Amino acid sequence: MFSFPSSKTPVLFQGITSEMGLIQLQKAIEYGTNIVAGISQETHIKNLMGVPVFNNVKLAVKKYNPKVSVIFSTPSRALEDVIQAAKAKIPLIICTTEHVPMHDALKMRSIATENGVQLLGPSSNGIINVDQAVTGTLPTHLFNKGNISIIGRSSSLIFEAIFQLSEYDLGISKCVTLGADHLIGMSFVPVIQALLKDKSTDSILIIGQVHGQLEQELASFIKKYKKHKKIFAYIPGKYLTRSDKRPLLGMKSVLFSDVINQKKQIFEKSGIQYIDDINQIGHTIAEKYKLKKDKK
Amino acid sequence: MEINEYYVKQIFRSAGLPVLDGQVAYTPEEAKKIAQKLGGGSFWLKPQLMMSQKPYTSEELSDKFFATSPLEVEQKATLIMGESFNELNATFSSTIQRLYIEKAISLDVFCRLVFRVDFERAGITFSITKNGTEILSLPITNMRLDKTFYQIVCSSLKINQSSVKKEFLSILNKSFQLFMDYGAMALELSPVVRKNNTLIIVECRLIFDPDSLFRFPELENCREIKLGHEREALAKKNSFRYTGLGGNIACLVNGIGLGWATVDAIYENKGSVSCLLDVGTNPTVKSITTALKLALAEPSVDAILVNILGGLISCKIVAQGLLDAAGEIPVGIPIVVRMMGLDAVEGENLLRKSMIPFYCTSQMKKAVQEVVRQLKEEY
Repeated sequence: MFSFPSSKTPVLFQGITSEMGLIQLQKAIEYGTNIVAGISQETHIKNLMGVPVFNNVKLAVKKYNPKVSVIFSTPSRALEDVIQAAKAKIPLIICTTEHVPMHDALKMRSIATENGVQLLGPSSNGIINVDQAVTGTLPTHLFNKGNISIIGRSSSLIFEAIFQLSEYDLGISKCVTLGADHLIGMSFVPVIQALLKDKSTDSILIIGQVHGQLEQELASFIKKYKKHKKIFAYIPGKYLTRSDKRPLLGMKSVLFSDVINQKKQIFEKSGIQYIDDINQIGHTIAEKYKLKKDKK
Repeated sequence: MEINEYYVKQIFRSAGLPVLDGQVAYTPEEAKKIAQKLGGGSFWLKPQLMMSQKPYTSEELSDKFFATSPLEVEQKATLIMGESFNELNATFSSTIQRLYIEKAISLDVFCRLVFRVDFERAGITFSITKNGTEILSLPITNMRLDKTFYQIVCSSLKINQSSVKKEFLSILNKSFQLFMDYGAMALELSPVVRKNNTLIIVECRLIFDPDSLFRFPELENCREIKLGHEREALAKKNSFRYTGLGGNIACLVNGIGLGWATVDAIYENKGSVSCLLDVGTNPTVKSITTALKLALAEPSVDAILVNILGGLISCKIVAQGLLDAAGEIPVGIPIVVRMMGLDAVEGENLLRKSMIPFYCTSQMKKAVQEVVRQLKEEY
């Protein structure tokens, strides 16, 4: 069962001494995230900003029992870190590493399933529980507290949505990025399941992707679920066509517009409001709240 | 990433897989010598070009690339080499400088076996295509080949004879191992049964995962820039992504999701996009500069839209990158800049202070409308 890290959730940082690890450590601590320990291969570092640093996940888990691990390692190291975290049975592993080799991503998925833990990413920007905790690389300064939650594949469009919402004084409750890679761990379903039960969320925005079947899976879940929350969705790439006329081995050649239309229809059939125009995201959601755009 | 056929065949050969004999020739004389060395029969002359698409398959090779004697190999090579090779569907052509001379064999039944990373299923899939139609698609569980797998594959290909079966399974195992060892996106092979009941691989292809190349530095040497993909290569070198789209507005964005949405918004406003330059969520000044310079130097680009959301990156850095590029290449076309987030105001001020007439806005909608409007005004 997926749950959102709160300010009390003990969090482990793997790759804490990497460039991104160090930046995010400071931001996460400032935000109030409960970072209990870090893992680094640099054995001489024992403590960073008050956080004890280990070179072994097992030891850190034994001592601090973290519920979430955020991985900031290099592509060559990421698989090993996920394996260590999964074997130590940390319930939620967030892999922020980009450019993870595909076979490694496949192995990450299977190791997570084998050990009964959840894997978010690779290439995820993590989770933010606004005013509580940030686990990942989402820029905290963009998020103002509110009642809308966002689940997206890539982070850049989430920022766009946040800007548009802020123009209507609408803030964010929770935000989860699944990762934009083809092969990722967690899909929309467990996150939306948690959001539908979340008391501080009353609307949900989904930012999907052309590739893959995750949107279809989400739609069929929503269809079965009795819901009282409004769900909006947007998928970019309508006007892009795949440039290779001869598709990659064994893959079907498709027009992006066809795929998006198909996903749109599936969404609409399950009661999800699809937003056609990126520039209408803020407006469409604000309409539900009957808010007029404030003219500052 | 793909590499030339002759190199793939070398990889297959060193993995102990039976592939057709052949060698690369750079001149017609060399081609003749290679043919003589390969010994009697007939030959294929395969152009070795890095194309955006696979240029040919053995089945498609026309008479032009087929010879029945070393002398004919030389004659045909003289005709082909230096000739401009127009590929099916390709928008560009190139001269042929290299031929892979290979012993030709008759192809009655031609099937393709493919191992590939399957995105939809999030696993590895094996498939067989016979004369263009897929006859089998089988998921590989636990990243291992097992008895059931062998049985299904052999029965669908109707391989009964034990000697052939043994050899076939060895080919399957070795090629799967190769696929796994290289962490490849896909591996394709076309084995053919010869008259003496032995198997030979006529065609093979390996598509590498660009993200796993750090594990195989030796491949870097045989990596060639695909024809017509020089911009993509320049972009990759400077850690941004280039996607050519054929219109006249260049879009510089940070983040692929935002990029695609920007393209959508431009088309919604009746504009058209020349190329998408994605510098990623955490770009450097240099990658922004190189990206803008690439757009400015492109003759097909009539206007530029910069759409940056300062999440992880400060807009001051973005502004600096833009100014650096404009300092190197004179700006003669409209540039609309939309910046939001971290240090957006400071970034905008930097741009406004410069002599270059950037149009700045904080709204994406406005930015898109403005770039389309400015273009219309120009014509």
